[in-house]
Amino acid sequence: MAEDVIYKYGHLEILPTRMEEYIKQQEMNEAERERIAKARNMHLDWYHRHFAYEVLEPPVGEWEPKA
Amino acid sequence: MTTAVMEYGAVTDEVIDDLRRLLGEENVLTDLHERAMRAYSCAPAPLHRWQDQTPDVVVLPGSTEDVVGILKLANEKRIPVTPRGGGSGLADGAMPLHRGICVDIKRMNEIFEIDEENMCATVGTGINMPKLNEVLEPLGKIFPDDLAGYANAMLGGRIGCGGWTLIGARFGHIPDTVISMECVLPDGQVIWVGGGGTKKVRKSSSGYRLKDLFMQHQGTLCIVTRAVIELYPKSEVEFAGYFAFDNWDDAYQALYDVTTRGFGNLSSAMIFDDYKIDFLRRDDEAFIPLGRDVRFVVLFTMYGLKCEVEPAVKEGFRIMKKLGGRYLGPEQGEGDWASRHDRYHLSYHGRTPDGQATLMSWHCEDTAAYHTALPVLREQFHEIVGRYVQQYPGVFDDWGIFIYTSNPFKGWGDYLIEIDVGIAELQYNDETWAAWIRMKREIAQAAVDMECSVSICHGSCREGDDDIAMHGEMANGSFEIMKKIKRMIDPNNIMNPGKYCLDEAYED
Amino acid sequence: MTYQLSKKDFYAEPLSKTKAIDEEFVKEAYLVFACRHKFCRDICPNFDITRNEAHSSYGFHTAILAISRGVGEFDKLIDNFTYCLECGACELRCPNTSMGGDFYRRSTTTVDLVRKIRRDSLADGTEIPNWPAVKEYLDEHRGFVATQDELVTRWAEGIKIAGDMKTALFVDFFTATQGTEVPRLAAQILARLRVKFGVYTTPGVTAPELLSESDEEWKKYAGENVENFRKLGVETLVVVNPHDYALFVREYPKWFDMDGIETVFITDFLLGKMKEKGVTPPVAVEGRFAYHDPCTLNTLVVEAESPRDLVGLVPGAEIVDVQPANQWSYCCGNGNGPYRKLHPDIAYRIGQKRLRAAADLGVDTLLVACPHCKDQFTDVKAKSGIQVEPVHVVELLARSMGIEWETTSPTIG
Repeated sequence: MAEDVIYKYGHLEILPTRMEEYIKQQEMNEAERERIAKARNMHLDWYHRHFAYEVLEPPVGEWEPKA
Repeated sequence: MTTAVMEYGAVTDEVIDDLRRLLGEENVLTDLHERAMRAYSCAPAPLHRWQDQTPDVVVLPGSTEDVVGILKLANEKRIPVTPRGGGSGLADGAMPLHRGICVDIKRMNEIFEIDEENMCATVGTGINMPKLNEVLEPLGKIFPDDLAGYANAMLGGRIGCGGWTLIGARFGHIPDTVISMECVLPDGQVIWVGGGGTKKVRKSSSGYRLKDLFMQHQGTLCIVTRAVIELYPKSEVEFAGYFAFDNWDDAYQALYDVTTRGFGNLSSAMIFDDYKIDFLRRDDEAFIPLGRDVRFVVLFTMYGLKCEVEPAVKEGFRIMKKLGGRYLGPEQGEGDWASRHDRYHLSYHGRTPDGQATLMSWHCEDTAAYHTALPVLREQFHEIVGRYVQQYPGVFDDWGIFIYTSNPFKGWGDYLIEIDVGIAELQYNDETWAAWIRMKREIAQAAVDMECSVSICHGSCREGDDDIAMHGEMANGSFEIMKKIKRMIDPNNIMNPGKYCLDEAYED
Repeated sequence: MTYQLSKKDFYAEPLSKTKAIDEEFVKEAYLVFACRHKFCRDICPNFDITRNEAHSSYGFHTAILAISRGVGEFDKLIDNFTYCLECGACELRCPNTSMGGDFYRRSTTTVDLVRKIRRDSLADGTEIPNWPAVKEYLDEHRGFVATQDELVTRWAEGIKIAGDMKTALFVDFFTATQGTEVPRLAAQILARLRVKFGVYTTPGVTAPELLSESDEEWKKYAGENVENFRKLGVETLVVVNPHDYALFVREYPKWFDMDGIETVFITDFLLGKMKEKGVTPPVAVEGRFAYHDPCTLNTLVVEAESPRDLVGLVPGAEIVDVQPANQWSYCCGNGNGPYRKLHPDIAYRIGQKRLRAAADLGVDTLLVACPHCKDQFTDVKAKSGIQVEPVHVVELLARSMGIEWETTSPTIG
């Protein structure tokens, strides 16, 4: 990362000290963050389906899935 | 700067009553805040002089006949008219320079005909592309106008700015995908313009190609109310491959090699430069974080039949890897490509010099360039913006450079090179706005000095761009012809006056 | 289900025609204005009909920003702010939320903003057009609170419910009086499954409309609910109306400690119990059905799966409609607040468009998971003549379990 970030509960987030002076954080729990992440993934899936029927996988041998 | 002094009629109570009689009370908006929100589009907004750009009245026509009535009235009373589509154009076409009447076309969003056999559709220009494509989806068709503002742009505005699309290398841009259009001229005359004189024939040898004249006019010649557009078969497959490079030279060569290879399905190729990668690292939370060794990213996308795209993708990999490109994986590719409209312009991306998150608006300052101009422009753009970032810390920010394919139906030749500038508009005042204009002029001048076009994306009618575009880029005689055409079609200069320096057409 | 807490403390500061817009609010408004893209506008089901961009998250936020710059007046705002369904689609679609909200812990909260502007405008003495119809509805609720022992359980006539309150069925005023088939059939299904539960008899005024008028009054009723839940030993709260479910999940955690109380939507609860008991509905209900995702589940809490999964259990039933993400821009027209009373004509047109989309799929039934959606679509069907019948997914499940809603069922407990 270009900046220091926090890694908590499996998600990245900004160092809270970067949000103290000009734009502040709101009160937000992990369930709300997960709701946002879930909606984002729904949206990205929609985008793929909208423009093409299928997303092609990379050619065989070009990418090893993570274990 | 023009010496023409335009005298316009006022939007009086009588004019508003006439508009209400014509359109219905609910379609004539006079409340100040409703007018104020139509003062700006997607370009940098001088918030410190909001009143200057606020139209006197907003009207929402529902038909070509409504538009005829509005323009006849405006022409008779010499009231300026600013057409407004999605209000998300980067060119500021929808920002009124002389207040007057804002003609908001969003109600004209009807789908009149879908002609599957002839692969075209006739639509109102207030249509929004995702909504259109939702209707086309069950038919297996798509109108592939893929821009950053895809979710909210309207066809009328796209025509007004001669819209560019991310996947133009495969599908063409708006000048290619609009077959013909219905235009209402300032005197209320209604004409259809196309490749020849027909509505559905794409290529003709009859007469002048008037469709091109009424494309990218930024509302200075007419209001387009209907259009016949191309329909494409929805692609079987999509592939987006992102490759990391650790140096500019190899990334630049990779872009050239993949775009000149001769692929039939290449839809786009892009470079994210090192500043852009650092900028994205600020909040790469949605996707796999980019490791420190990733300095540049080159991507290519392909759309089409699986039997064509699959072997082409393999060849694309060979090209990238030959130059040291490292494939970043399907999650990166799919996630970033699907979010291409959304994630590069978050308001939180701004940073003050001491690293605090601050609110900035994203502004794309682009140039339409040929391939060999790209390295020069890349350095110049960063140098220009860097100076202003230093001089006005916390007001401006360098958000990096994108380079995209831009030639319609081909990957080579033309590219869009954009430097994204973060601007803290809440801090605009006369001084910082003047600084922004100076920055704009320097960027535009750099383009013209390289014999490139001031813009393919953000247009050439913004303050800071327009005089360099018209008196520099178009000084080959084109601007003179533009002025003659403007004066002929719009003798009272009511259509979006002040744009493209066309007030000069009235200097006598 | 986990409670979703999203709260901005500075929203407690009232806005008014007599004072300047607070700096925090200027930034709040600029956050959305700065985007410029207006994705929020074109996902909005209301904007889809009115085509006035003032009626959008972008419009709402830009109006406030303009007023802060002296271009507009606060007391003229309110008419625009009546054009909000409070569905939350714009919040999800906003890139600030979608792409950065979880990373920055700062998101777009248009529904809260709209409710706040309405409250602050009313407190300022500004009249809201058509508000008397909303007030009448809320007064009916308030009156119901006084007599609720009888009305709140009338739907259960003939059904003996004898479980304790560890698992409590929460039936709100609207569902208890106008959507009675849902709790009634749900109770009979649960009886069939031998699930013990009680019925919470003092729900208070739960209508989200109240949040547009007085959050203090809403908090009073909500606070009483939480206190009662604790006294009664409620551990699992099963909510039949998704409007209330969304309030429990998203509003209650702002003000109350909900530890130890699990709130579950009825379709999640039924699905869970069917699977736990290994029960497959025995009666096939053959058919192709359209399905309407309620905004409260789809775009507010983003838990759209269980109603569809419940239909998936019914032999022979097939949903042929578009996916939840495609339905972010859909609405029945009722809205999640006072919208239908404020703009009945536009509400009708929104519902008509949705019902016609279902008809275009070649079906004669539109499944729903919300009693307000069912009520609205019933009304729209009658007025428009579109021959698509709204049916609640619980009704479909009940039919598949061999239960018709006029019949009684064995004692529970």
